[in-house]
Amino acid sequence: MAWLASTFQLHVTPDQLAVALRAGVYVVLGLLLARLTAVGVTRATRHMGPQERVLLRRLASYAVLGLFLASALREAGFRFDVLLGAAGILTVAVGFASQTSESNMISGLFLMLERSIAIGDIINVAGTVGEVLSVDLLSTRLRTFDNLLIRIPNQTMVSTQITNYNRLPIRRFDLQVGVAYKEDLAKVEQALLDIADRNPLCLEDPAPLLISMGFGASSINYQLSVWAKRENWLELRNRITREVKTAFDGLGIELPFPHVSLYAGSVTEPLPVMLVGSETAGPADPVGTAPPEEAP
Amino acid sequence: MSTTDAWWGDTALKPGALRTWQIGPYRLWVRAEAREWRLWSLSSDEAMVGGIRVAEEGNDDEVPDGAALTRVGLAQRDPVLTLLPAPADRDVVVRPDLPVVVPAGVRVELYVTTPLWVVARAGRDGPTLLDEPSHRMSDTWFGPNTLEGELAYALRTSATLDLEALPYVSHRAITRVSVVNAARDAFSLVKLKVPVAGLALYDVPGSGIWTDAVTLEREQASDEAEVVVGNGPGAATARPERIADPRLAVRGPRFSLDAFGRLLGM
Repeated sequence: MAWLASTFQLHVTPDQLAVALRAGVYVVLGLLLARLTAVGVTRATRHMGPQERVLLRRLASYAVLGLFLASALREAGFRFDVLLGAAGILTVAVGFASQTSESNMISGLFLMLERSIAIGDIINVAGTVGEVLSVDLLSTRLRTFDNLLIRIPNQTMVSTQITNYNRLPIRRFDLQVGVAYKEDLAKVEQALLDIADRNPLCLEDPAPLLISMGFGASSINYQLSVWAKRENWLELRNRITREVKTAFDGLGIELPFPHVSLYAGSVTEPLPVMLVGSETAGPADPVGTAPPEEAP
Repeated sequence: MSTTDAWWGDTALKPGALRTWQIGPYRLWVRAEAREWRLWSLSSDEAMVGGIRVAEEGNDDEVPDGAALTRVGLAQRDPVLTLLPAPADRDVVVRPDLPVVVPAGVRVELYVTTPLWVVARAGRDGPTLLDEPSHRMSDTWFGPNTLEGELAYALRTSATLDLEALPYVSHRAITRVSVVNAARDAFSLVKLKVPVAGLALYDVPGSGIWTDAVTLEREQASDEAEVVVGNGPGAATARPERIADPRLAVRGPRFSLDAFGRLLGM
């Protein structure tokens, strides 16, 4: 060791250098073993869910690393009894300094124990929809569908309403559809139920539900509620909208858009229109029959 | 392959040539190219249409635009296509057109037919190229509520009690379901989950394709149900040849399911 100190002209004694090297070996060994532990735990927990695997892997590797770091510090002459003596003061100081972090950590533990979300789930947190990438001690990371990474503090996750789209195997889609007032409603209702019946993605049980939503401004409104396997929900949503349009077109059922009808009375002739300021204007002209006139 | 309309088996393909199969409502076009297999498939919405046509020569013009194309990268010097029937990949919930009342102490035998799956392989022991239903059944959920239960296929059927009334078509498998009501009260059989995915397939000469027979026993003074999967299609048929294994392994010939009310929609 003396030659090493003399070669690099270090102002340390050979004993101090030996201690530093031993501590360094502990750190390197700790990092290596922590890595190996993580790999081993990952392999041993293949049958578990991704959330549990990540949690166990981190706990095991951090425990191994912590032990070796403590050994390295002890080797370097760090006295833990001093630390324990100052633990009370230190706890108060650290507690004040890291209130938010501790709150997030405790919230993170609650999230992990509650298991309301797991890695890979699609969730909605306060309007943000994305896939859960990880539930860490301080925060939860989401990847949105437009590929943005969102970090949400665990404290927020615990205190906010979360919608998990992946937890249950089947899901309902509600299609809002309006038909013109002139239509035969029995025919419309049968057409909607037939569409649900023909679509193989639509679950037979729970049965499709047709609800009359009342008289709207321009249409009589219905809600067709159909169930699908969760993975097929988006495809069902796209397909059934197209199928309703195709079926209604084929049956001559009008899908109205908002419009306003003008009546001058219960029974009336077309509203007369008179062009003002034109020399060629006639006395009266029904709507749509007058040729276009140039402005004076 | 003792059934007249057997569509399964090996077919040697000429590289680059198109061959076509019709298996009831399902059509398949296959071409083995130099470095890949190309398989086009199309299934009709109607379950009972179409006949059986096996390995006929075809041309590209007859492949409809709506046919789904599957490409599998696999080079073979002498391409051989093996087609095999397979049971459904989920259980099937059968709902008779009219409920069947099963009196106390009575054994009723129902016959239901379910669509077969078509499995295409590159040779008998080769990789799977395609695994599709000959007719796509509607999805359904089978359970007491939307939280508990399992996904299954839905099938509306006459659930005939008369074996002679069955259509013998080789794109569907016949299952004999014996319902034994050992309880003291009668019940109305509204729907019935047949564990098709756990049944083997048999070719029965002159009688089409059958699955293992299934017995559902409603026990006395108990909601417990027991499903017994028979070892063969049942007494109604003779000299069956086993042509496909179950998709799901069943642990022993007997296994308990949940409450009887969940197995038989009452």
